[in-house]
Amino acid sequence: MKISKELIEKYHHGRCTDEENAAVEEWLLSDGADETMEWTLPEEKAVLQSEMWNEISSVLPSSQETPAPKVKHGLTRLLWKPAVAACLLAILGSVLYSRKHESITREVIALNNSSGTENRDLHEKDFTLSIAPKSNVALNSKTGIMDFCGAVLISPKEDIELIFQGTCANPAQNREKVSLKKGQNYIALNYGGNAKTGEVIVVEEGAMVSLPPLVLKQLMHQFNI
Amino acid sequence: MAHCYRGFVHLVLFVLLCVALLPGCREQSREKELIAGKKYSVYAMMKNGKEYILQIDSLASGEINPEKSGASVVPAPLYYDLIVRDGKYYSVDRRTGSFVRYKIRKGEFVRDTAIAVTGFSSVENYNWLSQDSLMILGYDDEARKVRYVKIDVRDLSITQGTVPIPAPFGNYNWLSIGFSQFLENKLYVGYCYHSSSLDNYTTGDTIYTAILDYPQLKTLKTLKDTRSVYPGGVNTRQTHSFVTENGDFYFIACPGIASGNYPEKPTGIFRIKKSRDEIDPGYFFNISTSAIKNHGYGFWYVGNGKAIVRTERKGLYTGMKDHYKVPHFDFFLLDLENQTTSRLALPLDKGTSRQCVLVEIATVYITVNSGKEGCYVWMLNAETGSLKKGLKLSDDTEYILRLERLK
Repeated sequence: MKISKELIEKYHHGRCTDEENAAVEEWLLSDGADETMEWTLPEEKAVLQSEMWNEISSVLPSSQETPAPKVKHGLTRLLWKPAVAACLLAILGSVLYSRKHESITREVIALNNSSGTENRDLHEKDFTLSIAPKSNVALNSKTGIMDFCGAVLISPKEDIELIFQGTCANPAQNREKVSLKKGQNYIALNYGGNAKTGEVIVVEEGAMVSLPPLVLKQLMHQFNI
Repeated sequence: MAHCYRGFVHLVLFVLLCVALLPGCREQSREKELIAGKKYSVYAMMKNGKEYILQIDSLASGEINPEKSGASVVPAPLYYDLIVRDGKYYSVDRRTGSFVRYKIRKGEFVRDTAIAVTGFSSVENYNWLSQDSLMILGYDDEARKVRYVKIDVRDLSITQGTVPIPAPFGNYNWLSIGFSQFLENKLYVGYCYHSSSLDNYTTGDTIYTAILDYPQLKTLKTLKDTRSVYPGGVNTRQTHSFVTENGDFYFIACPGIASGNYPEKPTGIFRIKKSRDEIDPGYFFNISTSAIKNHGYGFWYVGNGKAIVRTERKGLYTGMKDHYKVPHFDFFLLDLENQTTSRLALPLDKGTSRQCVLVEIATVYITVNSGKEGCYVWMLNAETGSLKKGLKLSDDTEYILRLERLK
C-alpha cells in the first residue's frame, strides 16, 4: 500500500482501516532510511513538493503585505523547508514513540506483528496481550471489541469481558463474547482458516489440549507454555 | 479409687497417642496403597482444574474421591501424553527434550528420572517391542524428519535414529504420524501431511502408509489412499487402531474438526488383511454415511469382530471452542465385517479425546463424563450388549481423562 501524507494524517487521527493501520505501522517500523514514498512518476514528487510549499506559504504572512528585504525572504525560504521536515519528523517521531510505549490515548489500538518468529507484547491497564507472528490485533478500548487475525495470548490483570472478532475467520462464526478471569491465561485463535469451518476460538490455557495435536504443539511452542 | 484414677490417666494417654499417630498411619497406608501394585489407574480432572491419579483394584462399584484418595499431578498437565505400563508412567517433556519416568511420592505424582532424547517435542505414536522395551515415534519439525527412540524402561537406556518418511513437500509444512503397527516383522506407519499455521490448519487429501522392514527401517513400499484423511491419531491420547484375533489390522481415519479438520471427507475405517501389504481396496466402513451420520475419533477393539467408535454429535456443539466441554459424544458398537452400528445407551459424554475404553475378557469398561449424571465407569458386556454403572467419581470431578490397567 502506498504511504501518502493523507494516510499518515489519517493514521494519526485514528481513522485508518485495519489494513491501512498495518501498512503504516509496517512503514513506521521498517528500518529502511531510503526514499520511503513510492512515486509512480518522478514529476509526482516535484508536484507534491510544490503543493506542500504552496500550502505552507499560504499560511505565512504574505510577502506583499509585509515587504521584507530580498535577502531575508531568501533566508526564510531556505529555512522553511528544513523546518517543515523537522515538524514532519517530530510528528512521526511522536507517533513512533507512542507506538513503542503502547500508549492508550487513542480508542483503537492496532498492532500488526509482521515478524516471522517473535511474539509482540501489548501491555494494557487491564490485561497483557502476546501477539503471535504474522498475527494482528485492533482493540477498541471503548467498545471492548478485539478484531484479530491469527493467534493471541491474553493475560487479564482484572476480570474483564471482551468481544473477539476474528477478521480472517468464517464471518458467520466470527464473534465471541468472553468473560476473562484475572490470573488465567487465554488463547484466542482463528482456527481452521477454511471458509466453511473457520471459527474464532477463545479457550483457557488448560483447555488447549482439546485442539488437534499439531495446533496444540504450535501454540505451546509459540507462547512458551 | 487410685486404680480408677490410674485407669483414667491411661485412657487419656491412649487417646492422645491415637490422635498423634493416626494421621501418620493414614498417610503411610495411603502411600502403601498407591505403590503396592493396584490393578487400575484413573486420571481425573476436578471442577477446580486440579488433576489427580488414582490407583484402585476394582472399577465395578462404589464411589471414590480423587482429591482424597489420589496423587496430585504436580508436573504441567500431561494426561494426553502419558504412556502407562506395569505400574509405571512415562512421557516426553517438550521443555527439556527428555523422556521422563514418573513416580508417586507423598501423595504427589512427580518426576522420577529422565533421559535426554534428540528432536522430540512429543510422542505421536508408541509401541511396546517387548515387556521392557518401548519405541516412540515423532515428527521433528525443525529437522523435518521422523524420529524414533527405543527405550529400555528398566534403566532408561536408549537407541535413537530417523525413519525414512519423506519430509513435507509442496505447500505442506508439517507431518503427522497416525498409526504404527508391527505386522509379521514389518513396521507399518500411517501418516499424512498438513499445511498449518496459527490461523490456518488442514490436512492433505491422501493417507500414506509406509511399510518398513525391521529392524533396518528401510521403506519397502508406500501405500496411498484418498477415501478419507488423517489416519489414526496420537495414540497416547486415545486408541485408533488394532489387530483382530485373525491378524487383520484396522484403523480409523478422522477428518473431523478435532483431528484432520477436513470435514468434507468422511470418517471411515480401513483394513489391511493379514499377510497382505495393501489397504484392502474392497473395504471401507464409512461412519459418516452410516446411521451414525457424524464424525468420530477414538476406535477400540472389543473382540469377536466388534469394535467401539466414539462419535461427536453435530448440533450439540458449535465448533472447537466448545467441542471439549459440551457433552455430545456417543459410543457405538460396530460389527466390522457386516458394517452395522448400534448405539450404546450411555449418557452423552464430554472431552474431545480421552483414553476412555478399557477392554478385558469379560467386560469392557467405558468412562463417561456426563453433564448432569456425573462421572462413572460403565461396564459393557460386549456379547449381550448389556450396560451397568460401576465406580462413581465424586461429584466434584469434571472429567475422567484416562483409564488404564497397571498390571
